[in-house]
Formats: sequence, C-alpha cells, structure tokens
Amino acid sequence: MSRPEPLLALTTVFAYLSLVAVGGGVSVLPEMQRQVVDIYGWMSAPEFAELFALAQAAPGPNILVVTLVGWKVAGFMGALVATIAMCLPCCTLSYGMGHIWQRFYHAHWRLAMQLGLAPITVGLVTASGYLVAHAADHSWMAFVITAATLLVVLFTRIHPLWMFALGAVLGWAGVV
Amino acid sequence: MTEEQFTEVLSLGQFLPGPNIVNVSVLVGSRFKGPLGSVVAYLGLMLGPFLIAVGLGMLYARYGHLSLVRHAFTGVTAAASGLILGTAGKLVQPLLRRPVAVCFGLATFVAIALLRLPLLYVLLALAPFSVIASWPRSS
Repeated sequence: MSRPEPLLALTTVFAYLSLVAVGGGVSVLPEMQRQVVDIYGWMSAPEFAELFALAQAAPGPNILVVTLVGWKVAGFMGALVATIAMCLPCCTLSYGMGHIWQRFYHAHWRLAMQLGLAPITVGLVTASGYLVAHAADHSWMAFVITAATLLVVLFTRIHPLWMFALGAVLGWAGVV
Repeated sequence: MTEEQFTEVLSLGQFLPGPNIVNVSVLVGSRFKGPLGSVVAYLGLMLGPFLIAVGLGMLYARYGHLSLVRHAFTGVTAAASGLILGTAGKLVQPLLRRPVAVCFGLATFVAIALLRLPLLYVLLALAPFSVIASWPRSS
C-alpha cells in the first residue's frame, strides 16, 4: 500500500505542470523532467526518457507519460492521481473558456498572445527533444537514429513508429 | 462541426495551457453535450490508453531490466528524441519569417535546455515581452 506523501507530491507536481504547459504536453516535458528527476529524484533522466518513449509508442496522447511516472512512484493510485492531476486543471480551464472564447476571439490581445506564445512553445519543444536526446543518446549510432527520425518526420510521410521499430531492432543488434 | 469551428477549437486548445488534444476533447464534448459531453469525450480519448499505459507500466516494472529490453530501449529512445525534434522542426517553419520570434524561441531554448532554469520563471520573464512584441498593429 503506498504512503499518502507520494500521492500528494504527484498531485502537486502534475497540477502545476497542467497549468504551465504552454502550447501542449511536450512543451512541459523539460520541466516535468526537472521535477521528476532533479527535484523529487523519483527516477534517473535516462529512465524518464524511456518512459516518454513508451508513452509515445503506446496508443493515445503522449501525455500518458504522467501515468507511467505515477505508476512508477506509487502504483495504480499513483498512475490515476498523476493523470487526473495533469488533466483536471487544464480541462476545467478549457471548459470555462470554451464558452467565452467567442467574445475575445477578435481582440488584439488574443492574437498577440497566440503569436507571442508560439515561439516560446517551439523553444520548449526543441528543448524537450534536446533533453531526451541528451539523456538517451550515448553513442554515435544513437545520434544517427535521432537525426534519421528527425528527417523522416520532417520530410516524409512514413509513420514515426517505424523508426521506433528500427531503433529497437538496431538496439537488439547491439549497435546502438 | 464545420472545418472552421474545428480550427477554432484546435487553436483554443493550443492557446490554453495543457495537452492540446485533451483540451480539444473537452471543448468538442462541451459543444455537443455540455459538461457531460466533455467528460464523455475525455474518457473516450483517455480511458483506453490510460489502461494500456498502466499495463505497460506493469510490464516495464517487471521486465524492464532484462538485457533484451535494455538494448531495445537504447534505439527506441533515440528515435523518440528524433520525433520530438521533428515536431519542433515542423512548428518552427512559420516562425522563421519573424526574426523577433526566432529570438524568443532561441532564448527559451537556451534558458530551458542549457541553463535548466525553472519553467515558471522563464515563462514569466519571456512571455510578456514576446506577446507585446507580437501585438498586431492594425485592426
């Protein structure tokens, strides 16, 4: 049976992350790593990267990484609490804003915020990719796989999961 | 829902904090059936994947240490980082036309990836200026 303290910590961390996730779930990945690895010490950076890779490969939104983190920290209750904490604040906000969106859709400040937050989101997502690569890539072959996946995503219509499969095969072959 | 309505919902979902697709599910659900619609839409999106994730968590805990799994992960995590970077690459394209936007993007990257500063402070420091810099000059 898990102690209450981890559940409270999970709730606090993910409720906070829910509200600072500017531009989406991937944006908050660096901060999530900072909290989970550096501040709470629940796992190492490479393990966090693995859990995120699992969440990406699995069906459903990538934000389910929080479910995996919650599971690791405190079993099923941890997984449940983390997922709810990550979703409830932003969902409540979305629900509330959904009705009044019409009112400020044409306001200058709305457009300014959208245009102003866009580059910050891009910076965050890039930081996210950099940090996962930093935690996970430890050989030139790994960097090659990262670069190849990047190119496949940017320039082809090949489903990225094929790159995950290729990565797994190369990993098994011991060349990564 | 019309294409235009959906685009609006998508842009609102991205504009608001939180995972975009989660926000979108709540917004779309609320348009059709109010709060109940939001709950149903959210569960439709998340419930199955949540249970799968829990299952994967169990498998990872039990078998994650096996050398076969460890080896596979070395390659999979490499692909995962490439996927994120590819996503960033797609997002960056419309911004390249705006030098100011590029600056704020770079500043954010340096602050978060290299300096490892807390996100809240980086947002408070950069977001207001980025927004002011993006203020539309005509109506």
